[in-house]
Order: sequence, then structure tokens, then C-alpha cells
Amino acid sequence: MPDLRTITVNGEDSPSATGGEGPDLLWLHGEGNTSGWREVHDRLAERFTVHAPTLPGFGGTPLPEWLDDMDDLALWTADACVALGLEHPVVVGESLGGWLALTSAIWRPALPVALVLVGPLGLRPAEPAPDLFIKAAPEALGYLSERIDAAAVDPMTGDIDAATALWVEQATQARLMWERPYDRRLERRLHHVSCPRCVVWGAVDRLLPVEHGARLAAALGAAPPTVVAGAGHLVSIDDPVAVADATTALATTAGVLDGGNR
Amino acid sequence: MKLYAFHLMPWPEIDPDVATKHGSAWVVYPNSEYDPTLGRRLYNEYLDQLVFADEIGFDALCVNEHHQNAYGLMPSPNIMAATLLARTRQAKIAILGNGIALRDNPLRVAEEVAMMDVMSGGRVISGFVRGIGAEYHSLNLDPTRSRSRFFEAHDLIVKAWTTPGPFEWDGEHYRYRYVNVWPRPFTEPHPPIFVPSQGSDDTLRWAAEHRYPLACTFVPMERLKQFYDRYRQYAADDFGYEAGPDQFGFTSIVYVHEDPKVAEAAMEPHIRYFRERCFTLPLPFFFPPGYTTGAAYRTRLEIARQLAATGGPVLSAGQPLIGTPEQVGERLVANMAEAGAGTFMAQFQLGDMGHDMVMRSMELFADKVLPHLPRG
Repeated sequence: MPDLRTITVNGEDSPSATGGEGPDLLWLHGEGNTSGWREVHDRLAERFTVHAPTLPGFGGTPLPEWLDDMDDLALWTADACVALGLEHPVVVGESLGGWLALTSAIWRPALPVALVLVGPLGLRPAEPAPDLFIKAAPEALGYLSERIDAAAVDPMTGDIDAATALWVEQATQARLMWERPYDRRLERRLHHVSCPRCVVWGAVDRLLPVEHGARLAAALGAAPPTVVAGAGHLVSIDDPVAVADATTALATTAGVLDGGNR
Repeated sequence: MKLYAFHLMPWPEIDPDVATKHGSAWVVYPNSEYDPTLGRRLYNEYLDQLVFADEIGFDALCVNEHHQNAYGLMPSPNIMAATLLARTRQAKIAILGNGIALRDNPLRVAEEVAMMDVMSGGRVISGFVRGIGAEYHSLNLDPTRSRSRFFEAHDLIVKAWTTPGPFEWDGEHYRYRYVNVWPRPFTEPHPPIFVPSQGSDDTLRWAAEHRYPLACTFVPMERLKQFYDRYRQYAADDFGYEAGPDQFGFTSIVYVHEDPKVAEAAMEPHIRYFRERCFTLPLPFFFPPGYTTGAAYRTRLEIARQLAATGGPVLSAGQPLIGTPEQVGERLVANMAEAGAGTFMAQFQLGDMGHDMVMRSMELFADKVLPHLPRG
């Protein structure tokens, strides 16, 4: 079980979970009520000390007044690393958290020792991605992963507190991506990312196709994406072992993990 | 009481299967379903209905703003208001309201309303709204900024109307080096401001603070009284005054016919059309994330669940007044007294009601109801 604590970043408290042993790893969660400690964290904790803070405005915390765009969240992440005592963690970000991980690595290239991007948002897609904001919660969550318990957050029939919490979390998402669900400046900034990096993509992603992941990997100068068979957009839910394996592989290549450790 | 005529200018030929085929009559309902030839006829009929209300002595004619939908075809209420001002002589035109939070440049509203106020010699009532959730989908505006944009746009417009320019505006959402609207309003200090509201608490308090009359649409009597009571309480407790009836108005569907049974039977399909087609507006359309607070959203879910459990309609039609002239007149006066309201906003046309049906009802209202109403 992880150690649950509260970190203070710029005077504001955020919940954070830490667990495992080994080199530091910062997990940046995505959307869809996925900020908690899950199986993927346990898998990663077999080889890393996993730090999983709840991003501001997620996991039942209110939308911060100061949050305008992903740059604000990237600078928050830099401050959160100080609060967590992380100097050069492996950074793993998924979906919205992948967009955050990329933006953080652009502004603070020396911070991540290696960067694992799991179905990251942020790059302008060739074809518009489906609008999940206009869909009912259960249907919208289906675009992220078929394994999320969508019935539990159904506004009319699910748990009313859970449904409200998801809606509040979506408000933070709306602040970041309602008007433009990507950052049109991202592509021309990608050359700032300097650490070893890899891209992981679900083979049956319904939000953004594998080709989008391939475009991002090419733009990043990374190897073609690791495509995870049977996984949807949130690979960490659909195949947590695949995410842990890809992270271990990159960390080994980057010299963070001893090869014999595998 | 003051008598206003309220109109939505709806589309009367919404697909019966709009919910299953398109999901909503808003935002995504394909505009290939819109027929401009019919649209031209409708606009003119709807305008004729409002002009007739002026002729029979209504105090004001109401227009409103909705976007990309078949429920109400006035995306630019100021165009309708200007048209009505040119076609009428007596009634005020109540814009209920301009969606000021929907404008990236709210100074345009200050200019347009001031133009109408000057041209008409002060016949404009200027309502301000945030715009319902669906507008944020339609106009691709971040719903989490809706409330703060609304309040800032209001402050900017009122200052532009009342403070000699040029002055600088340096706000959270809007920045102008020069605010200096030409023309200034005709009405001193500015056209009266109304606040159409669905009863969110911060809006009630804010309206009470500014003494802006509240205009409620399709709110059942019990909730209407709760809204008004909260407003009165804020006025008394926080702002030290007693809110009078002139600060409260609400809309009702009105249909008058000499035979009460015919009246009920004739209106039933139109009310159903309105509920089941015009108001096909799923929860994520109505309440995009961040449009209101988490607590307010949770309350909405509770209400929606109660209604679903009791088999009641998702949308209340408010207090429709359908019946003989005597019945309608009596209930109208009784409802106004019960709510403590001073402004009655009659909606004579609903959903797919045809022009003739509306006009016969309005004529009967003019002959047999209006003369008996306490006016002033």
C-alpha cells in the first residue's frame, strides 16, 4: 500500500501517494477519475519509488483560480517536484498527464531523466478527436477505457457524489482543453525535450488513433510507439503491465535502472 | 401589474425522433432541417404577434438570445429588438437578454443597446444573461469562465454607459485602452437592467444587490416563490431594503378559448411538442462542466432524479394559463399575488402553434381578459 501524504505547493495542499523502492518516478495522471493509486502504480513500484500527486483541480480538489493553461500546470509540476524532493525522476504521463509531462519537459528539460508518454494529448490531431464534453459521462468514459466502471458515475443512476466529483474534475479539463483540445504551439517546441523518451499507445484507442502516436513519436525524435494490443486510450487501466514494462525498458536504456535488475 | 409579451420564435417542424436521431434540438441538430422559406414566413408571423401585443397595450415585448438550436431562433436579440422598435410606437422592447458573457467584445453590447435606446427615445429594457450551458458548446466558450466573464462584462457595460469616457478598462477577461461609447444611452443613467434567471444563488444575491428585476421562465410556482424569497431576503439582510413586486416577473404560457375543454385539448400537443422536441437538451448540453458550482450541479442531479422517479416531466412548463377568459384572468391575478410579482410575461406562442391559433387567442385575451387586469 502506498504512503498517502499531503504536499504543499506554492502554499496550496495537494494529496500525493508514494510507494515502492528504487529510482524516483513521477506519475502524472490523466482524466476520467484516474488520479488514485491503481494497479499500474503497484507494478511500477516493483522497480521504482513511485510518486503520484493529485493534480490541482482533480480527484475532488477545486479548480484553482490561477490555472489558465497547461503552462501553469507544468510550472506547478516543477514546484511539486521540489516539494516531493525529486531531482531527476523518471516521468510517466498519461493522456492529459502526458500532455503535461511533455509541457513540463519543454520548460524544464533537465528535470526528467527519462520520459514515458502514454497516449498523450497535446499535439494537434490530423483529424479532430471526438468531443467528450458533450457526451454523457458513461459514454465519454467508454472512449477512454472500456474497463472504467462508467455506471458508477452515471449522473442519473450512479453514485451522486462520484458523478458530481467527475463533473468537477471535468471542469478542470474544460479549463485546459475546452476551447482548443491541444496546444498548437506544442509541435514547434518539442525540440526542447532532451532526455530519453518513448511513446506508448493503445492499439484500439478510440480517442486518438495509433497514427497520431506515430506522428508524435516522429516529431519528438523518439522510436515508433509501443503499441499495446487490446488496449484503449488509457493503457494504464487496460494493460498496466505493458506500461510498467515500457517504463522499465526505457529506464534501463537511460541507465536509470541496472540492466541486471530486469 | 405590467404586462409583457414573451416569445421564443421556435422552429415548428422539429423531427419527432430528434432525441434518438440527433441527440438534441440544440448545438448538433443539423441545420439542413432548417427551411429558409418557412423561416421567412415564421419570422414575420412571430413579429406580427409581438406587434399586435403592442397594439393592444402591452407594456413591453420580449426577445432573447439562443444559438444554434430549434428552440428559439433569435441568435441576435438586438436585431429583433431593433426591428420591433421600428415597427412599434408604445411598448418597450425587453431584451431578455443579451448573453454578455458569450461576447468576446462586450463593449459591442454597450454600443448596440445604446443605439437602440437613443433611436427609440428610451424604449429599451436591457436584460443580461450568462447564456445557458448549450451556448458554451455552440460558441466554443470555456464554461468555467462563464460567471466571472458575466460579472465583468456587466461592470464594463454599466461603466461605459455611466462614466464619461474615454477611460481605460483593465480586467481579468477584457482589456480596453479606450472605453468611450458613442452614442451614450438616451435613458439616464442607463436603460433598465433585467436579470433573467434560473435561480442560481449567486445570481439572486447579485441581482438583489443591484436591485435588478428578476425574470424567470418556465419555473414552477413553488420554486419561483423560493427564488423570490431568497432575493427578498438578500435585499433585506445584506442590502437593507425591501424588494417590491416591480422587481419580480415570470413567464406563463397563455392560451384563451371560450370553451375550456377545447382550450386544454388544443394546447396539449403543443406543450408536448415543446417539452419533447424543443427541449431535447441532454444534461451535458445543459450543464457543461464548470458552468456552475459542484454543489449546484449536485442539486440539479437530485431534482432530475426526483422527477425521473415520479415520472414527471423533465421540464416544467411553469404555470400555463389555459382556459376561458374568466379562468385565465382569475388565475393570472391569483398567480401574481401568490408570487408577489409585478410583471406578467405572457407567452402566447409555444412550440409548433400556428399563427392563426395564436392570433385568435391574443384577440380574445385583448377583448375579455386585458380590460379586467389591474394595470399600472
